[in-house]
Amino acid sequence: MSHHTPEIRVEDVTWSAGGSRILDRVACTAPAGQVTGLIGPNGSGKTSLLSAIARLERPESGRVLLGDEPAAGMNRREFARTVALVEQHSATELDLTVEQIVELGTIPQRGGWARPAARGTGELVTECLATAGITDLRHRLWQSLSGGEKQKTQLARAFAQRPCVLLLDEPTNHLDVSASLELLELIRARGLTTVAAMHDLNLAAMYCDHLVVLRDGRVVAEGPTESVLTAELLAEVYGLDALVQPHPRTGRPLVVLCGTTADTTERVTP
Amino acid sequence: MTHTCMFSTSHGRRVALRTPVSHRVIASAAASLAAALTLSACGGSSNSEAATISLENCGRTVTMSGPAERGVTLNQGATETALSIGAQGQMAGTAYLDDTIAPQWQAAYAEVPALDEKDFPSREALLETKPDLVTASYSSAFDDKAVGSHESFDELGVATYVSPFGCKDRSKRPAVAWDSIATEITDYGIMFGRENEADAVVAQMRETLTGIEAAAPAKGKSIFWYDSKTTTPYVGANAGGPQLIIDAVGGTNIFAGLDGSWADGSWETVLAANPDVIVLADASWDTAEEKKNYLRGDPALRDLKAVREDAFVVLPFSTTTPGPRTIEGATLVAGQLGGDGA
Amino acid sequence: MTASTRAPARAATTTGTAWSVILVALLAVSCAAGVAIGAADLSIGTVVESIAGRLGIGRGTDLLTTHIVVDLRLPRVLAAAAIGAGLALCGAVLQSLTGNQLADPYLLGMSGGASLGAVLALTTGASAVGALGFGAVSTAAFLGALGSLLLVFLIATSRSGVLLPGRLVLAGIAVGQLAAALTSALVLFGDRDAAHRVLSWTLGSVAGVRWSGLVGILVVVAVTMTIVLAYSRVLDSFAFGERAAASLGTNVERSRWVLYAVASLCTAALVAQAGIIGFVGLVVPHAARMLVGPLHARLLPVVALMGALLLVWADIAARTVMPGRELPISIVTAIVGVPAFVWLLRRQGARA
Repeated sequence: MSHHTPEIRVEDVTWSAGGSRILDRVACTAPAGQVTGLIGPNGSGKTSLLSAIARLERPESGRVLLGDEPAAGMNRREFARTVALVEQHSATELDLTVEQIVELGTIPQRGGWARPAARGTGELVTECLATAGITDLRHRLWQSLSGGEKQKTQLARAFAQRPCVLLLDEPTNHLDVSASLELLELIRARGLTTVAAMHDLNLAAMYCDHLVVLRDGRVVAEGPTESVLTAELLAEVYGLDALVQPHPRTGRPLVVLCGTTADTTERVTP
Repeated sequence: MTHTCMFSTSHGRRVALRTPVSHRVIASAAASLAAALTLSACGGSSNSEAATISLENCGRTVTMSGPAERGVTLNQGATETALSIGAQGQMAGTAYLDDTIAPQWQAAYAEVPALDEKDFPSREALLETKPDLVTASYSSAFDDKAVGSHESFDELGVATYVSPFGCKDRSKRPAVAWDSIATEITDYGIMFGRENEADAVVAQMRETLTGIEAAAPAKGKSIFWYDSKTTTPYVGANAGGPQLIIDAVGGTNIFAGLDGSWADGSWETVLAANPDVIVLADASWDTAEEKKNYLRGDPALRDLKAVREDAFVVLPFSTTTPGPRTIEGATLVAGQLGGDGA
Repeated sequence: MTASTRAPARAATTTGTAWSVILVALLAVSCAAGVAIGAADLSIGTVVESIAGRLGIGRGTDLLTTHIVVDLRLPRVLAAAAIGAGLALCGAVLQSLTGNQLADPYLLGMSGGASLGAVLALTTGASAVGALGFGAVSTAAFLGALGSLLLVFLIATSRSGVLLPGRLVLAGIAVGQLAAALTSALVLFGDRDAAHRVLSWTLGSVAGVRWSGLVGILVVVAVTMTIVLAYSRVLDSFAFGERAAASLGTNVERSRWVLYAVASLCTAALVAQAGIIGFVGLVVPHAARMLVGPLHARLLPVVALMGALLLVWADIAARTVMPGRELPISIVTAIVGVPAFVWLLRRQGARA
């Protein structure tokens, strides 16, 4: 299972919808094998950037490279075997079991033209369930799962695609603290190049090696977590009055919130 | 405080204004009403005290001060019944044909204005003719959406009549029989003051019937009465015009088990019964030719005895409904079956 | 939320095959029953003799009895099976594509267009043109269905050629209503008998299907089944919506076009022959999902078989409930379908 896991390079991606610029000449890099956090206030374009990388939206200019290869050059199935996406919300009315959902991830392996029960698929599914820690949920119905269990199921499905790159949109959105930590640990342990949109700054600080900060569809900062996550940035981008200190145990940045900035900082109007 | 004061003043002002206005409204309403009553009185029958004609129809009583002088017939059946007793000189209008008027009455038909040949006329158009009698074959003519209810005509002093076979209240409908057909023709005779002519028509009908029944050209023959449709045939059932004619010519109806005038049958029954004769109703919307072609073209039905032997009898659809033309239908069937001989 | 357990997933594959075998057997028995039952009182022995005779085995029976069994009953029973399978398949596909469990084959306004075509033929008197497969009414109905479909696709396609699913459903409703209004107008201005003829056609019947028509139906349903089965995994990939399907490598645009087109053409062809038969496409996919789960490789064959079974029995009921007469088949499917649907909904609701 050792895939070469490439770096992701976003080069000058611009995308508009409904008359407004959602992504404006976004350029950033997600280093190979690292977890890159995508942070920024609501509406800053995090989901849109993930969609652009995942080829769910076509940017009007710019390109995305996976290693040296343009993402747009791959055929759909090949791309689905390379990049796996876990969205913020996954919903279905169907009565699917966890096992069946994870198996959906094997569709790119052989495309839409074959029956599912191929040799090897069962083993792959079992492996992904184990990796995600949900083997005991194998026969449970999706509708009966908790939020955390659902996220883990979608993650297992993503693993079943055997991707080189993992994209996650607010993976810990509806999860409690321990579930969040479990999930992020799983993701880090996987070792794939990962881009995760995060809203919780401390979780981002704990698990992301690299950060890309978006505001109004533009990159305002990018780099290793320690250098990006500063009090000045928090004030400028989020309007937060906070302290950033090294975590007593891990040494990684720790955000301590004090409040919001009372005075208006100079902001670029959209 | 100020508000209350202003409110009561303006209220008082409104009340004060209302009185002269309301007087004017009532006065003009009264004038309109008087005018309307006068107008309707002019249009209605003059003597409303003594009703000289009275008959029962569908549970209502039809009263007229004298024979109709300006009758309007709203369906083909009604029109033909009136024309059969020679009432065209006393008619102000006709409407709603199903197909063409029988040839023997076409000249008479042309003498009467046709208000609308394809549908019921509007109430306005009908009232414009200043009728004293309005007759129809179906009670649906007197729906509010058609020409208006019986009561609305009663108010105007206009008599209305519905064929007993088309009474809204099904329990009032008589069984389809030559006697009940005779009753309807007699009713028309009474209403148009042409009892003698009506009696003559009825007598002629009975005489012809006796002749046909005596000859019994279809005796011992099974008959399939094919009205329309192909997927599932619409057939003559056991209690309407078709059965009446079949009985008159002495045959048996292969669909005698189905109640009603017409009903949806099944081709299987037709194949199983393998009838001797197939009667085809000829209507503009479903011609006898089309039915013959269908029967001859169908892989299963083409082997029916009657189809192979061309044992078809054709008659116009309007001779298959109960009315003055039913006897014509029976005559046509009898004639095509070999009339006077066996 | 209570945990809801089901039989182990591996066993479900066996269950899928097992169900298919059972259903095929049931279908064979039902078809036999359908041929043995009818307005004409024929014994089973007679029925078998007739068929054998036509095949050249034994003396057979007299010509007309053979006609009843082999030219009337056999094609209509087989047609009922094929049409039931086809409608159920189209319903299942549309439910999966739109993610809407209340979708049915007539979602795209086709029933309105088909009715309009049929009514035009019925009210202009061009109805009884021979029995060779497609008469005037069937052709007109098919053309009407195609016409309304084209209109719906035109409305629902954006300027850049993308099919917008939301607009598709609304366009289907709008076009269906327009067609219904025009149909009503034609009936109103038609002759006295028009309403009856139109209603008869609209309520559906397999009574008019002979061998020539049956061949067409079998071809259409077989082709549909093949294509749709081939798209099983694609349909599975739509489980969590279109974005999820795309991220699993599905060409969403092309799949939508192909599947909508196939489901629509199949439905149009079936409606042209048999009128508008309701509830099969809506209820059968739900029932099948309850039996074998929502994955399409297993689901679609079961859907087809259950649809076939339903319609064969509905046709038998339509012929036998009122002796000597035939009920339109939609009345039977509605009487059966509505309570079945309510029961299904309540069972699903109970688990939520």
